[in-house]
Amino acid sequence: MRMPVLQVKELTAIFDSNTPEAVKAVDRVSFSIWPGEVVGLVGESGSGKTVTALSILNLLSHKKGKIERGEIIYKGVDILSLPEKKVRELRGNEMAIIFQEPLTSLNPVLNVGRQITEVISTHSRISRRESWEKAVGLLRRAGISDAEKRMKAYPHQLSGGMRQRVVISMALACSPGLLIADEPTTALDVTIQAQILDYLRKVMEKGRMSMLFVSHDLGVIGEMCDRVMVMYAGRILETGTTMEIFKTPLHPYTRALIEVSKNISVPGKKLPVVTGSVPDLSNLPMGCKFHPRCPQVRKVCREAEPPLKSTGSTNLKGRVCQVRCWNYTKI
Amino acid sequence: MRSFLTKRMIQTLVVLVGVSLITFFMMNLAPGDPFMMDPEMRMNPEAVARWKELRQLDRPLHEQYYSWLVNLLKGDFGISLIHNRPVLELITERLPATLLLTGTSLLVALLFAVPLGILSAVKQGTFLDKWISFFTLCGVSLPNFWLGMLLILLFAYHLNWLPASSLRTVGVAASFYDYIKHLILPVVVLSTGSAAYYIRYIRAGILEVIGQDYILTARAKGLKESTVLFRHILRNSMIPVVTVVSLSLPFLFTGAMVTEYVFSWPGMGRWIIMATLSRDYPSVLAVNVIVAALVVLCNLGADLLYAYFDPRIKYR
Ligand SMILES: Nc1ncnc2c1ncn2[C@@H]1O[C@H](COP(=O)(O)OP(=O)(O)OP(=O)(O)O)[C@@H](O)[C@H]1O
Ligand SMILES: [Mg+2]
Repeated sequence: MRMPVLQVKELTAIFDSNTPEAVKAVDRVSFSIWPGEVVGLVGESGSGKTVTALSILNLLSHKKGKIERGEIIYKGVDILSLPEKKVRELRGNEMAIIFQEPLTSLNPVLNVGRQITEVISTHSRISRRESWEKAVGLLRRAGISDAEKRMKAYPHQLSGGMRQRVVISMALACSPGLLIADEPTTALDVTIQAQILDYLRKVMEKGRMSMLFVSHDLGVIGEMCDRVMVMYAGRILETGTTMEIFKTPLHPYTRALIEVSKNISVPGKKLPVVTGSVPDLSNLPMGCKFHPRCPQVRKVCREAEPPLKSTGSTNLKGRVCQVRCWNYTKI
Repeated sequence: MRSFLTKRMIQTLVVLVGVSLITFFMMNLAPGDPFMMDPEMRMNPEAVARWKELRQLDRPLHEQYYSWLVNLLKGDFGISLIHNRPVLELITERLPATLLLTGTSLLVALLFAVPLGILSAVKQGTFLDKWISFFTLCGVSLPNFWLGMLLILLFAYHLNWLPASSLRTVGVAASFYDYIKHLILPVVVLSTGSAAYYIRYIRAGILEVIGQDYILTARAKGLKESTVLFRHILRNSMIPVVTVVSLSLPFLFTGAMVTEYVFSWPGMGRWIIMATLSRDYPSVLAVNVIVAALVVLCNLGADLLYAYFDPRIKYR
């Protein structure tokens, strides 16, 4: 059998805070991504999606966070035990990331061309001319007209959608094996969002890349992903194929998210949300972390945290589905 | 760009007229007279009257101001009431010594401040950063006159290693080595304070940029730390540094008054103090107008540099 591109094992990421105990933004999260797969990571704001994404590139220290334990295995190598120099060779080259906010994730004082070509020249020995041409090609494929001219533009001269196309071109510049897209379309309006998603899907069709697609919107996840992981308060609550998650969601939180995503396009109404509020990480409830908001809460939910149980069903490629809920008993 | 420059030129003129007006009337309203310094004159009202007439100080203030302004437009700063020589001549005599001192101090300060500021920001929170912060705090809070006297006491008086005053040794042929020896102590005094000040600005500027998303992007590209620093961080942190440095440039001209005084430096600073104390109206006016002009010019320079460092800034 082939190997997963990425295996995350028991990842725990913490932030030092003023409270006596460090805040655990990600708590014992494990998952794998297989070649050619698009895996969705969904959850409300603050559930730990970005922290997970940054941990995979081992960049969390730059956000003042720390990986307390766990393994991040990329193509068989644990990157957390690699020297920084080796990890740098992977970043931008083998593993690339697209951030949420296209304006702030581009350097305001360097032109677009410079920012794309610098990834190319960092990871391959090609001439300036060639990397320039390569960058123009990337922009063109990403749907930027006048690509030659845009290369000399500064980020503030471009629209939000264009900036995100630039960011995506930067991420794809070295044909990475794994693309992490951290809410790539959240900051964009609906039509641009559709175009960007289309482009990402087209890139995936070549089949050489895998993707971790992060979003708080199950609707978008449903369009993009083969499999979904539902995250809540730094934990995974449910995993399954996109089909199964939408057809037979097992966790009450997943069901709530689906309800929310169905209502999203009602104009004139305020954005629907799951009732209740996201728990404070420094003051998590006992037992199941979702129980204060859960419509099916029972006594046991308040007392002990349910384990992540395999549901027995496996998808076509033989990957297990899991759920973390006391209400779930094997049928 | 052209209309921006025109606008700034008009602003400059307004500022200069304003500064000269205020200085002129403040000086004349302040108690004391130029002849106070001369005991013989003070005793002789007739002489005073004659002198005032000669210097046209007996005319109404607005007439005096007007004729001063007209002369200024001809490039004439007037004649010093104390030295009886053209003010411009007095300035050109003293300016080189001051520029030597203040310019060297600025260079030395930047030479230390830039690397130390970068270092303490990059190593934020470490032992090194804490030490640098401690020394900058000391540097900012030590008064120049006190540090100057301390250094004189130690290196000139007790150890006798370095001269305590003046620009060069009198009676000895001027030599480069001699100038350097005289420069060391005042330069140390002057650059300590400003270096400490710059370090804080540079550190704060860099720390602000380091937290930005695009720096994370740069790291996610796999760039080396040095590339991230020099290409992505430094250029974005230049603006506050450009601001403080360009705002301190006008004071290269006035010299460091206190420090020049402590070290008997034959420069502008000491002369400005004397001119003010002795109510030498034309000299004080000239200095104020020149400094005001320099401040405005340096501000303009800073604005143009901003546009160079940050493409988002455009002037119209
Ligand atoms: N720099 C930080 N310092 C302290 N705590 C942090 C920091 N970044 C994240 N956290 C903590 O980690 C939790 C998860 O943050 P994360 O950014 O991963 O959320 P997210 O799921 O990406 O949310 P969003 O949809 O808003 O992007 C936050 O609730 C916060 O408590
Ligand atoms: Mg996020």
